[in-house]
Amino acid sequence: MAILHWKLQRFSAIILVPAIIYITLYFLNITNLTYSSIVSDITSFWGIIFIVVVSSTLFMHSSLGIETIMEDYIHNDSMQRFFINLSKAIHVILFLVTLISLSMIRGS
Amino acid sequence: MAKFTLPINSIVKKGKTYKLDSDPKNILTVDIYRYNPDDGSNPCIDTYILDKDNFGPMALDVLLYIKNKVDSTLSFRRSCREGICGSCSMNINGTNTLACILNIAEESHLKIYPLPHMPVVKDLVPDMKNFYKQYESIKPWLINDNKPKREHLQSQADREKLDGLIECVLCACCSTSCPSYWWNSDKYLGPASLLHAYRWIIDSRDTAKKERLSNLADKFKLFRCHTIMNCTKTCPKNLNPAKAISHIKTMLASE
Ligand code: SF4
Ligand code: SF4
Ligand code: FES
Repeated sequence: MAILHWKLQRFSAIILVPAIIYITLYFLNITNLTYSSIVSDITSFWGIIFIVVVSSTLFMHSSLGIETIMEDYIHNDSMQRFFINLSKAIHVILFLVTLISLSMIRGS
Repeated sequence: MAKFTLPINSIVKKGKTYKLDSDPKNILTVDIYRYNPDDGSNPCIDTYILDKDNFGPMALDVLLYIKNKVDSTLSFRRSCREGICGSCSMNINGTNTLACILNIAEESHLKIYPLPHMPVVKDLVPDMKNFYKQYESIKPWLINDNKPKREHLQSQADREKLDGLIECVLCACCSTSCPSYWWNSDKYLGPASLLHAYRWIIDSRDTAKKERLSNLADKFKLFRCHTIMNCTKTCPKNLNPAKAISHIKTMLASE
């Protein structure tokens, strides 16, 4: 389990590096884009794939990282479990919010 | 839970000032952490104002001078005075190091504390029980049931793989500089023990590589290392425990 956790954290970090660079470049250029071209970028086939893959990777990476921090600093077992589960639930909700937002943008 | 306040008896107070050398020419001010569990008082910082011309060039020379000439109650460990025994590890000017190999020629002010985050037995003497127990837990001896007529042979190339590992003197400077070890020293083995674990894992004469690795496949024993690298930065023998740890992780991941 510990090894899988470590592998997933490294693997997700590697995926996120080019994704974050791409998102940063996209935002730097955002003033040159029109509203409708941004919407069509987001709702295109590759746009949806990109957002789903990157957001799920991002939330998984963040959840694993926060789990590690909780294990580091919260020494009371039941409190540690509570906060780790809470963090996991928040991450799942955030991912669902991303999916719902995506479908709303698509439907609009 | 991590503690954000210190217990009242750990607050460090100002102690005595000793100014021994009349009209010192080459002044060295030395602040030293003092703690005696028997007298029930808080730890304090004693200040010694000395003349550098009176002792040798190493931090240990200063401590020996103070103990011999100024204040015989000062406690610290030392033995070899040449960086081989690992006894004189302490925190000097914010860095864990061996006092006997730290040249202080350029210094005018020393602040000397025991190794951080360790229970203090007295003054600069930390309690190393847990550290040694962790070292013992990695089985730091050769495991090989084949009994050769003479010694277990090893090729020159295989022996060279152990360079940079066997020089470790178990001073604990690395482990006690590691934030992960500060928070979880009861469960995380720390860089020193892990460096030794790696030393035995890659020893060509050892036959317990698999068991050694599976003993470390634990989220606390090994994976509390977050590659902060304080261990490598501080090691007075210039070893690289962080690299050894990352090799163990990679070995486990590729199993
Ligand atoms: S690795 Fe370096 S700092 Fe750590 S115990 Fe060994 S000699 Fe000391
Ligand atoms: S690299 Fe690992 S062992 Fe070394 S200081 Fe950082 S967390 Fe500790
Ligand atoms: S006295 Fe032996 S290492 Fe310093």
